[in-house]
Amino acid sequence: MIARHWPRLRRFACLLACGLGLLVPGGAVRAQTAPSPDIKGWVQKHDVNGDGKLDRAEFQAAVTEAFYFRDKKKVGYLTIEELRDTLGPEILNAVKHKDDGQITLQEYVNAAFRDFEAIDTDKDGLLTVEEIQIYIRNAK
Amino acid sequence: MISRRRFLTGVAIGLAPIGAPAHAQEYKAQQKALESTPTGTPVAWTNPDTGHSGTITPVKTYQSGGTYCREFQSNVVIDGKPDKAWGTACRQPDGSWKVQG
Repeated sequence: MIARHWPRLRRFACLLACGLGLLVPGGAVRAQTAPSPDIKGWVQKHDVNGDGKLDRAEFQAAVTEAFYFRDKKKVGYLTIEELRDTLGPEILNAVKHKDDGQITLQEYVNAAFRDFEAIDTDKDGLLTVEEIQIYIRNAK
Repeated sequence: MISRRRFLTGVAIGLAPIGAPAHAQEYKAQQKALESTPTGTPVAWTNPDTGHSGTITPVKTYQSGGTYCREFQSNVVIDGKPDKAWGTACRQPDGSWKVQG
């Protein structure tokens, strides 16, 4: 429900930051400035069963790993400060559930799955490279 | 009694019996792979004393009770023969990774 009211660009930005940020351990990818993310490479990397698509489990694993590499202190959660450079304040507000300055893995994954639902236009529960590319193209 | 080959494979992936020291290179590669290597990227090691070698590759990252854990695949070559094993390790409060099970 929230996703419907979330502007497309914000969802896209979250995908890049939450998921594709994994391309650079430590989260160096900036959503707003990433020119052409390697969508195909990212999908292939996390496509465990080799079907050329990302299912929910594969997507969650990819997002969880992105979270791990962003958590530089390895405390099990991210702070607003750690994400401020990557996610704008509006996106941060949408991702975090509680106003405690921390973002848990669950909050992070939930935010990423809003992207998943929006990208998965044929609603088969699988993300293809093409679906992601279309989503990104439409968001620009 | 475990065979020498199985024992070495166990050492390589951190499954050696308690108190049995893993070779420094193996341990170092394992810790590096688990701490800072993205999924699917192998970290190689070689034991110059024995000629054994291998790689450790993280395959999945998750949290368990707030603790980070990673599944990994270990490929080892012992006496010229390749072997493969899988395991799970969780990050300890001191920053080291301990193999589960």
